[in-house]
Amino acid sequence: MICPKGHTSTDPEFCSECGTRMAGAALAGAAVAAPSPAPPAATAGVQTCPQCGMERKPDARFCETCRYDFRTGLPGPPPDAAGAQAVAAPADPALTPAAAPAASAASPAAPAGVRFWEAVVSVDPGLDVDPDPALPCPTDAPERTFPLDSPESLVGRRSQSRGIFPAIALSDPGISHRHLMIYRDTTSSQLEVADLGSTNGTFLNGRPSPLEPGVKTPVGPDDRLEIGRWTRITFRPRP
Amino acid sequence: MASSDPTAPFHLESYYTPTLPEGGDHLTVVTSIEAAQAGLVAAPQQRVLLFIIDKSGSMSGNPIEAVKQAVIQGVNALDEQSIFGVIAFDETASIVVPPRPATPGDKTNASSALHWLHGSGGTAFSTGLDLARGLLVNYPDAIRRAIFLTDGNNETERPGAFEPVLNACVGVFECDCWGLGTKWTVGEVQEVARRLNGKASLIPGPGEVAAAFRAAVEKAASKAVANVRLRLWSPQGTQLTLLKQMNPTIEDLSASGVRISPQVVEYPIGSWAPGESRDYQIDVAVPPGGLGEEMLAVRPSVVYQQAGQEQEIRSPAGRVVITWTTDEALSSRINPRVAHYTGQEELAQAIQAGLEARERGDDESATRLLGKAVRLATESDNDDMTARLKRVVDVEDAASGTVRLKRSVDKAATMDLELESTTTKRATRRPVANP
Repeated sequence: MICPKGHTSTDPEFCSECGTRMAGAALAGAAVAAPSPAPPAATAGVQTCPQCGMERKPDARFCETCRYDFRTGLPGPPPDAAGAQAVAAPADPALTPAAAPAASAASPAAPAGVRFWEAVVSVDPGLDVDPDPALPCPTDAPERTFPLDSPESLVGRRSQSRGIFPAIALSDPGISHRHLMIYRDTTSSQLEVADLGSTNGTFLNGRPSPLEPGVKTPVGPDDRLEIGRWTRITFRPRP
Repeated sequence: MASSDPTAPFHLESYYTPTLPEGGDHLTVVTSIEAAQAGLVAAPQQRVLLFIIDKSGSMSGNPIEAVKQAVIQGVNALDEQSIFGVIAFDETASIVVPPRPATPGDKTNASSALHWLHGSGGTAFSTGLDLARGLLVNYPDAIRRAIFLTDGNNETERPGAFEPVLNACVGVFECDCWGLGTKWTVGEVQEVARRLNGKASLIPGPGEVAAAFRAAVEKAASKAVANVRLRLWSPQGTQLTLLKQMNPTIEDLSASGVRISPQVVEYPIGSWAPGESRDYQIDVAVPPGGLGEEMLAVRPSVVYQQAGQEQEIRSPAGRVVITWTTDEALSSRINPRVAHYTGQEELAQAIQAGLEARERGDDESATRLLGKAVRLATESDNDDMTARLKRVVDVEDAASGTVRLKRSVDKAATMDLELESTTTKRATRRPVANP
């Protein structure tokens, strides 16, 4: 049996690989599934940004102009500030040379057959440069590995009260609830990361200045992010 | 319920919001597991019950005499197929009554053996637990439980001895724990109970030991199947981010999961009695699906051994099937049962933080947090918790959470509130109308 997404399933009702309802399997609530799989892009295409009126790019999470967040409905920074940043960023001499090698290192690697990625999260006591006795570094914390198969994986601290449940939920007190997003392009498998305006910033490959909030930066094998007090995230291809 | 197979030994039912917003990538599920009243197991299983009694110096006199009587009464309540034993510990542990069937003759012998027991020495929990483990490993197929009682701090423990012993006991036996009086530490006793799938409680005075032990013996005798596991299947790309027992008490089981295959994780959920039911919260992160797409996000099942064979029980009502919609009226709806347990967890946290604040002398925070706890307990009709809170604070207005800290508080009331803070009120069985 082959599921609608092309997996071989051993279960006649839901795909044993991806959980998608098998074609022809009786629908429990026909009303729920009634909307024919009309191209979601069509609905999304006509959507405009409630903040600046710009048309939403299909499936884009943030408005391209003002960085309004379509998912959470949180506004981006004022349009003029966003524009100034976008212009200033490439001109910043400290950032431009540093960003280039990362992009060149990552871009050729991705098409070379890397299909799936994983993020390895480790605790590096060496990053905890200003130890606080009230917040001891958990030096014995084991390394954890998260698959990055979703188009977007949120990295942050879980908050029951604010309803934030990151896919990569970390307990480092220096990490924001919504800290950064890891994007995976579903066709090219290219990974990108963007800081979501975190309090303490996201540092790529030991660079002294943090990533510009809201700007996507491509990453590749063995690129490292340092966040919070002691957390390191390393990207690597998954066989 | 009507759709369930009435002959199945376990019934699972999941409660959640089946519609996620466009791009929605996580959901919270409450799964109820209920053991059948009849036919849980084909053949009755052997049961072994050990009493692990603190005989340190502080127990001498009334306490130890009361405990002896309570053990004798407890043993007398056992049926002849049960096996029982008694261990006493101070800095070292000794067998008072070696494990034996609860026949009339052996019950008499046990009560004369207990007469020799008197209080002296220090307190090292690990010695009693280790000896119990050594005795119970000899009954690999039985339902193994222990009743642990102490009245003091775990103060004569050899450094580094406690943790390895407790680790070794996990999976060998389950243990309910009692602290007698108020000169013991809640955290220490709670740790033993938590790791060994049991409950920690307070016994205010020697007079109440017998009643507590009688209840514990009944509970142990009711268990019909041991080493049950909750198995969660989830598709590729999803991640189980949390598994918590939410009723009868809140216990985070996330760390105890064992990955069986890339898509299957199992969590040990201990022994079950006929008719017993518990609720679990499952948090799962899913890859966002297309609009109208339907996906099986989690399939919970109950797994246990019977006559050397693994049984897996699935219920159609336990499956978590989600879809994605642009209709916010559907996706923003919170399942009432999920909301109920979110509230109960908030209540537990308010109590714990409130008691901690009072301990450090921060009366302002303590008043605010315990007031919030009173409000949450009242809102959720958690009358037991409201009664416990009223022993620690004077309530002016429950609806707004206006309270005053009692000037002099009975220490037992505070310890009892701390111990019971994670005991939740069960979500109502009757369906709640959606707003």
